[in-house]
Amino acid sequence: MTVATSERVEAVYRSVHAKIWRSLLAVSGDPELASDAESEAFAQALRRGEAIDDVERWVWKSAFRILDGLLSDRRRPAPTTTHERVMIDDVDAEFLSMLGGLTLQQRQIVVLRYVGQFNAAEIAEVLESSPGSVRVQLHRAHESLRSSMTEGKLS
Amino acid sequence: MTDGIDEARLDDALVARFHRLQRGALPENWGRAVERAENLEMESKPPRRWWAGAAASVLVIGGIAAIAAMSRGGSPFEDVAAPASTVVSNTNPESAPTDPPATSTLPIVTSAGRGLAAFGSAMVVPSRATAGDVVTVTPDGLIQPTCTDLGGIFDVDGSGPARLGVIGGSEVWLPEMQRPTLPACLPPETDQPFSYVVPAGLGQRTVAICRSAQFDEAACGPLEIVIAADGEDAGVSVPVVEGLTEGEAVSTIRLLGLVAVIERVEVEEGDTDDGRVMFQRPAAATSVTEGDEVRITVGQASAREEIDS
Repeated sequence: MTVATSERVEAVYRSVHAKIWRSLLAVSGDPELASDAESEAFAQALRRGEAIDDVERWVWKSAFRILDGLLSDRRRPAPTTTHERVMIDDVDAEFLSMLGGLTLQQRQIVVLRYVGQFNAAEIAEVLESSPGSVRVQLHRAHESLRSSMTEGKLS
Repeated sequence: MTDGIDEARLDDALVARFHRLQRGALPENWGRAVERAENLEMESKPPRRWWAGAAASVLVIGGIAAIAAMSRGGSPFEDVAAPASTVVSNTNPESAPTDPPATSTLPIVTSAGRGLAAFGSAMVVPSRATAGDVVTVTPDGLIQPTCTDLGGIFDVDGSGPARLGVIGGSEVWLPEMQRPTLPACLPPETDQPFSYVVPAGLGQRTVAICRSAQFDEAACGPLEIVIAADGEDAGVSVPVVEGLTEGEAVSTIRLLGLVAVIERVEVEEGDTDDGRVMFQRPAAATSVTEGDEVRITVGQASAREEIDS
């Protein structure tokens, strides 16, 4: 890991950290998992160094894939290292719980749309899907969230 | 229904809630990333030990044995102990792999689904089978059915462990199915056929070939294999038509003896959904009977498109 690589990746981290971490939080509902996925993605970016052309895009994509893996590993052991604990207030926790009613893919798409502010083509690139599929899933997510609103879960 | 909550109000509400979420606490993870990167660096340089050469020799011998097994027409899996928790031995003599296949109940039908160009297709013989049948899948050279973490066959119905094939170096398969006779490591894109024997009591299943390591509707298709249990009429499994052009969707639906009912929604000029199926009802893999309707919603230019605005 060269100094140049470290500086280049850290510059990306400083510019997108908030968006990426909160996106991962909204998808997983778990601050620890969000931090694990984000730090692993940036660690991998540091390792690959100059082999990555667009660090920001690479990290978005990798972080979501890593989170996928973490979410699917139900036997994941408790973290061996302690790190900063993040408290989520009740209002945000309620919102995260509502997002939890969506499928994982719908959650990812909604989060990338509203937090990442990506368009369909960019979301499709991150999730290795197609723009058409992204639109369909976003539509379904909206239907589900609209239903939640109607039931008073979201005001 | 959702009367009174229009798209703009929903969008505003979501923007507000995500905005609030983004004002919350934020951990500092850069130090963790650097520490992890340093650990990865160290892990990539293990000290050389005396047994390393011996282990390499064992791997080479194992590889030669695998190739030899494949050249005999067998599977190198035959000599590999799979994880006990995932292996279900098939004790039903009717479905032993050496038995002749039972009569196919239907002619070959492969239903084209989304991602045809990207993911390829496969010929399945037979498309419906009963216990003891040997189902053979012949990919067209574009799909990635096994090996690496990008391939696998997935049980769409989603009951129990769903994967069949070699995923991420581990053998995993439907518990009710016998060990598949898959080559140990197919190239990423393959046209090598593989097969498995349908066990008794499987019930109706729909199996799709996916590109993703995890089942993902968008990454799956275009293949559906409907497997009916003994003596059962499996009906017709609704094909995946979302993402197809209107013509492809209609012909796929008709091929299965179903009736296509088309509804249109406006999309923007140049939108990729123009002329393509955006939604379908019933959902793919739903069991229906011949002559039933499948309603498809096809995009038609020109209306404001919500996401790319």
